[in-house]
Amino acid sequence: MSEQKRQVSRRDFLKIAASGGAVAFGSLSNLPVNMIASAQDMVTLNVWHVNETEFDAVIDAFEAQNPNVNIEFQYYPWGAFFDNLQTAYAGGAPPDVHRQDDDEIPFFVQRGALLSLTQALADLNPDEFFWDALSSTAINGEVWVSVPAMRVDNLIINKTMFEEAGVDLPPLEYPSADWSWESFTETAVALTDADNLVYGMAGLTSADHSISHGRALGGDVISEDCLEFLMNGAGMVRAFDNSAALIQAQGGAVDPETQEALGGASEMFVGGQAAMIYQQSRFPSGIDEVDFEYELRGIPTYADAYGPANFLAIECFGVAASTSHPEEAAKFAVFLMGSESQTILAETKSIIPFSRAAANDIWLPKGPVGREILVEGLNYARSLPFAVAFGELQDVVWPEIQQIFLGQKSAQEVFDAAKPAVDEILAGVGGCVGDGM
Amino acid sequence: MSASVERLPLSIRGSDNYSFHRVQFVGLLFVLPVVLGTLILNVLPTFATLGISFTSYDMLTAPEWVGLGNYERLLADEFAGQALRNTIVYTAGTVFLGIPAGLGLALLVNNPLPGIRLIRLAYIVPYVSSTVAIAMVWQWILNGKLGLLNQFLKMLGIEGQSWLTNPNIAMLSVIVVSVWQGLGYNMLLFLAGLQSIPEALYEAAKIDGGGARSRLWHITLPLLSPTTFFVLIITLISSFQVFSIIYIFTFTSGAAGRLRSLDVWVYYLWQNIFSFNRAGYAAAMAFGLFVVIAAVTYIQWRASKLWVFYGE
Repeated sequence: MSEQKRQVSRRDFLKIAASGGAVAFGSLSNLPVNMIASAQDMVTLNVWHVNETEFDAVIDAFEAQNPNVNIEFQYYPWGAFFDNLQTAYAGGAPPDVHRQDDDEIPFFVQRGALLSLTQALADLNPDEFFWDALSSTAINGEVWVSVPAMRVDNLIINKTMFEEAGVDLPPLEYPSADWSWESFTETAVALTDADNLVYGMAGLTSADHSISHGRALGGDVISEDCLEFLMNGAGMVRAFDNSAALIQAQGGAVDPETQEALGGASEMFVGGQAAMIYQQSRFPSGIDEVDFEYELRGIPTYADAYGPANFLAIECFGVAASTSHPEEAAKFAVFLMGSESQTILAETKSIIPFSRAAANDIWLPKGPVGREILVEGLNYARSLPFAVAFGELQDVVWPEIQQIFLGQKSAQEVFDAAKPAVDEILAGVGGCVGDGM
Repeated sequence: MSASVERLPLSIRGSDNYSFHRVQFVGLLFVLPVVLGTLILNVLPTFATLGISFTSYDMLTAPEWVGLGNYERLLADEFAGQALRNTIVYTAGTVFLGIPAGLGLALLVNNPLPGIRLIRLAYIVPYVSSTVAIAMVWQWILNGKLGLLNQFLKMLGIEGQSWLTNPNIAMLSVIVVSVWQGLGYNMLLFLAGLQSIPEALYEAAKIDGGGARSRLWHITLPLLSPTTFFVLIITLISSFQVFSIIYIFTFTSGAAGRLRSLDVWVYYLWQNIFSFNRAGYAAAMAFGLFVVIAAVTYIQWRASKLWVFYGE
């Protein structure tokens, strides 16, 4: 046979391709009818979250109750999650249900990206839940997310370090007049041995905690109508300056850079290099292996404060408005707040369940000492402001806040300088999105 | 018949016009994947970016036409201006430090020293290492309070600096890390260039009494100029597009990356898409960068006729 005869001409190639396509189509169309039907009955929900395993048991329980629903769970690390979510929305193929950042809710709602869950949640009795947390996310009287769990600020303390240093433990009551910013500062300094890289208090460098204190002192981030930047007010300036002063009082540490070099506040606590750290309900990883005793305490208050400070972070799930399975997706979102799911989360999750019964009867008794402070803290906790341009606001202000904590600028200087730019951003957005509940 | 077709097997070459066209067709099939890939992955996104840059697009709702609005905003954006200045500083630093350093290193390792292959390999390691790992290691070295560099300086009686948190020094630190990472790559390119220079030229120069400096100036540098030109273009393009090292310092170094002095163009572009939901504006930034890089490359190309010697 000659070489030329073995070659496939373009015409031959097209013939073969067309024949192959016809055979493939014929094969598919001859599939048993029952196989096609069962595939059509089965609904697959794509669920995305930043936590790899915490919802495994809940998903299993939901699938057991709903045999026609298969959940494809997709985990993304924290940084990659939001990029992927926005890209998926832009590509017109968002997941059916996904973790929703609470401060992004207005932006998503304004753009019609989320499905309202008001009807789906109608059967829940608000008295059985920490309903205020859910209400805080409402826009125009509608609920847009489900809230399986929440976090508030508290301190986790290394009791052994306190005892070895002969320093009194903070009171168990929250709030307490005996646990003021001044006594907190004295305690932190007394526990600091900077030469050996041991500090009384680490984790002061997150803006969230100082914002809570600033609010307790009558300050705020933005005005109620979301049109004016307020952080240059006296309360917020005092709170940030006090955090910076405490960092300096501990020998210029633990500033953001040193803290990062030591592995971060959580690692410092687990490694015995910090006697106290802020935590938002969640325990540092590695806490089960430590060789010291630890307990929980409330964050300090100011004697002249308007109220105790605390910070609320809500674990939210949103349902994409464009989902092909709105009924099943909403059902899953509501299931996350139901009694079975809440029981599972109370058993397995370190953050506060949304159901009062699950929190009080299952979650609290699991300890450690002082865990009730977290539930009490819910009464004083507020989220960061939900405003459409909050990301831009953060970009203008947050880098400069680090300069305060590094002792390079005063809070007044930083916030006064940021105000014109932030006011312009807020004016550009035109205020808050709708009304609340 | 052309020489290239003459070299083909008879069965393919054939003798008529039909066979010649078939050869062309086969050739096109071979390059088709690359052409398609370039069209789909490079050309189309470029035009799509240009299109999106004329819209207000938040990635959740349909884009709205705003004409030149994004470009007007870009010209007035204080943070974009700062990002551009930072990018120019970074680019100037990596070009003016990186290219001479790469050339100098190549000249050093071009000598037949014992273990020279191992030394060359050692310089390549940073280039093939993960930028994440490199950034983490350098954060430990440059940490103001606990870093190795300041500990070393302290031993010498020199006061250390906040290399990553001082706004006036942070960019210099990043430039040094980037130059160090890219040093091996530049060295490799220059080394290849050096080894392609005929030894006979150096021998002739020696016979004529040319010293080491004279040989470097009159033989090495002119004959290396095509390589230098290539390294310059590659360094300029990659420096304008710097993102990874800044991103990693930003997210892992506490205060360091949150300094405005480290906000570079592509980082600010990324922020506009994923933090501020302004994809239309980010597209304008991306297209602006494309134009700047194209213009700088074109100018370099034209200017290369004045200083690049191809041995013709």
